[in-house]
Amino acid sequence: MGDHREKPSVYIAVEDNYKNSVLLDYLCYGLEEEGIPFKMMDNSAENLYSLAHQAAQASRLNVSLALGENNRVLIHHKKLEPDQPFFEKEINKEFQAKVIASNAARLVKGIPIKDIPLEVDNKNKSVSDILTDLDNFQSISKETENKKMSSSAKEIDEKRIKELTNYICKKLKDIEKNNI
Amino acid sequence: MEYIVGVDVGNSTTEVAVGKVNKEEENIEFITDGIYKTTGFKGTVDNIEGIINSLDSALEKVDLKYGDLDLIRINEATPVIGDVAMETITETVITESTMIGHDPWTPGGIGLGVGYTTRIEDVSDCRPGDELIIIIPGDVDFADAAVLINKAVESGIKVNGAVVQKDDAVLIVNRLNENIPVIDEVKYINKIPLNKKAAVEVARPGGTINKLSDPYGIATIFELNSEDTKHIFPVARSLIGNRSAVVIRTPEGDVEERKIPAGKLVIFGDKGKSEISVDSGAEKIMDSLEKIQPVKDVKGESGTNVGGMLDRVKETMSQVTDQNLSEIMIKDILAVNTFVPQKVKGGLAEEHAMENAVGLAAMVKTSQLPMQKIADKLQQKTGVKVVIAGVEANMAIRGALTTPGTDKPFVILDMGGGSTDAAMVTTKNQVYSTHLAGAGDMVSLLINIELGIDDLKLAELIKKYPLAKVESIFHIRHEDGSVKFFDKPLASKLFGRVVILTDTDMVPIPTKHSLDKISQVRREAKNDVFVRNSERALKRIIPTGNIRDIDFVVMVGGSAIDFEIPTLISNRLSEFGVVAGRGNIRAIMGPRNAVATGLVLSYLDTEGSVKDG
Repeated sequence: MGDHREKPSVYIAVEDNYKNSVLLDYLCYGLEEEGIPFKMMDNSAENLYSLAHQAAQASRLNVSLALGENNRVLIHHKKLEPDQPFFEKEINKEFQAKVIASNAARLVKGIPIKDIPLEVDNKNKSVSDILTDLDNFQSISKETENKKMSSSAKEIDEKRIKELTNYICKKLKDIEKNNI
Repeated sequence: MEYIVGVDVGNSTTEVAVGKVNKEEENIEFITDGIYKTTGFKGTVDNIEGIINSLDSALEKVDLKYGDLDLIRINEATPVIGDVAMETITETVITESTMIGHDPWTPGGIGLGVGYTTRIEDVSDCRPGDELIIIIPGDVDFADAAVLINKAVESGIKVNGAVVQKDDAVLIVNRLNENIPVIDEVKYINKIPLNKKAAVEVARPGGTINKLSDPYGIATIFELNSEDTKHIFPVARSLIGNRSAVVIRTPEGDVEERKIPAGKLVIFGDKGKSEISVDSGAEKIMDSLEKIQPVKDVKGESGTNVGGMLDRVKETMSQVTDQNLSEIMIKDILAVNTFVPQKVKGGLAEEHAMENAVGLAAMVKTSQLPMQKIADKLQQKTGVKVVIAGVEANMAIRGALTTPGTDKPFVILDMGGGSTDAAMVTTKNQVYSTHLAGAGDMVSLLINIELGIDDLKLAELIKKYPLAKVESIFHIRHEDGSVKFFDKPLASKLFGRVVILTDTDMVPIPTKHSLDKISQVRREAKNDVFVRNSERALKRIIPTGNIRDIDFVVMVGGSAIDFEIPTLISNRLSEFGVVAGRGNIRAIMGPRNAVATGLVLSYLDTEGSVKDG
């Protein structure tokens, strides 16, 4: 049972090397947007599941978020078994952390959770809009290419995105040509 | 001793009853029954597969073979099929972007703000004293946006509200020095016209806006004259009940509710014909239909949904019966007023407006179905003698009378998928029957369109099973408010959702509709179709036309199994002093197997013995 002098809040527990991560910021933003108070918890468990579970036990809202190795995010609930969290996912985009956190808030509020989108919604952009975006993106990625990359994983990622971008670009140009 | 089989091929199921007949004692003992999905359209040779399956399942239970059977009696099926369609008759169009009336889950701030729309990157060009509504596209970080707004306010610019593309409203408001209303999740933010006067309103949590949802509220803000106020009325109306909204006034901007020309129906009767356009609504259509009874044929204007649907029904029937298209007549239609949520054309946040629509069910009847072909084929396949016996209505009455507690004069309501059939038998054994358009399929259609779920299978499930709300990971609340707890946690995708409780599973309904709304739509659809049809049917078949002149109504058929349709009808008919309830054929079968049972029972009085003949 949580401490009754504490404000009811969702507890966030993170592994040590994520303490200053951007993903953690986004988890906080997600809860803030939904208007749910949150509190950081000190990390003392051996794995992410028990970390999340402990945080959920301590929370007066019965809900916790945990972030750890491989960008894995868990939503846990006090009454669930430690190894069966309400939700878990390894994420690769920051905004996904925000969506997951708002789902934790939704668990508190009792409203249906959102799907985790893979990409920021780009709906309703016309073909030419997308082309301009892609052009911008290409020039940006060219710039970043010149800078030194910190991790090899990022480099592969960038490369792959560039390949995909070129491919989509070509396809879209074909479509536009055909339309005209 | 003989084994007699009754086979009833219905629109959706094929039912079988097997009886052991002791001729000397004029005694029939029912020993088994079977049910299987009807294969192909009723009345076609494709039905054989369903009949065989149904028969096999019955025989399996008592370990009999085809060779033990003496006679198969197959019903003279009424050649009736039905179909449903929908026609939207109004549409809301926003010419130029003038309003954003959507309900994001979490708008920010409280109050009403009025100013000129300005993109956040252009704020630096503004002068102190300017009144602004700031537009914040998705690529601007919320923290940066907040800093920019705070700076602008410090320099004397009046920022009165903001519109945000991402789900960031609360985050931005929390970082501002002053409270302003902020609306977020506006998908098509690039379409918002700039440098136009706009108003943003956000109500407190749990409240609804009251300035922008009122025509005079908008008129006050935008200083409109009486003529313009008339034009913005649809805007105000469409914003009622929202927690937040934006209205932008452009000189040419307009929101219109248009009537879509929806095509005409021409109803032909003995006394002449009547022409009525679908957009005049369901009541008028049904009125003119009743005036012109009995209906000979109904035609729809070609090129419209209604025309297409009526043609499709006729075509199907003509193929099934091998008759000329011109000989196929539509004998009844049922029109129901409904609402369809449709995306507003020109909207900026995927707003929906509830548009008026008319749902239509149609029913065709021809002189005869090619039942003899089926009988011949069945005889060939089973090696058992097959005869076509009895009119469907008579057989159904015969079977339904085995329900304990019934007596003549008496009416059966056979509620299936495609049509609602009724038959009445008087004390003198006179039988009257009628067939009406509209049944189970029509209910599914209405549920599907009114909830905007665009999934007929799901609509079918909503029709068939009760609902519950998943309130926590360990409990659900039923429609009646009672709570059920579970030992194991429920799946996270079910959490907070309204679910359908099927026999084996919980199916989530992926909409924002509340449980009450869904169950209300479901009940209204059943009322609109079945309760209305039961009244229509009774008025037609009772010779005096007065529902009070009968005592008993027995409901049979697939839709009579439904968990609430019989109660709805029973409630309505009790107002006329009629005892109405779900049939219980042979005291054990429930509302199923009436015709098959009747076919076996009627063997003794009409046919005599096969072996004699």
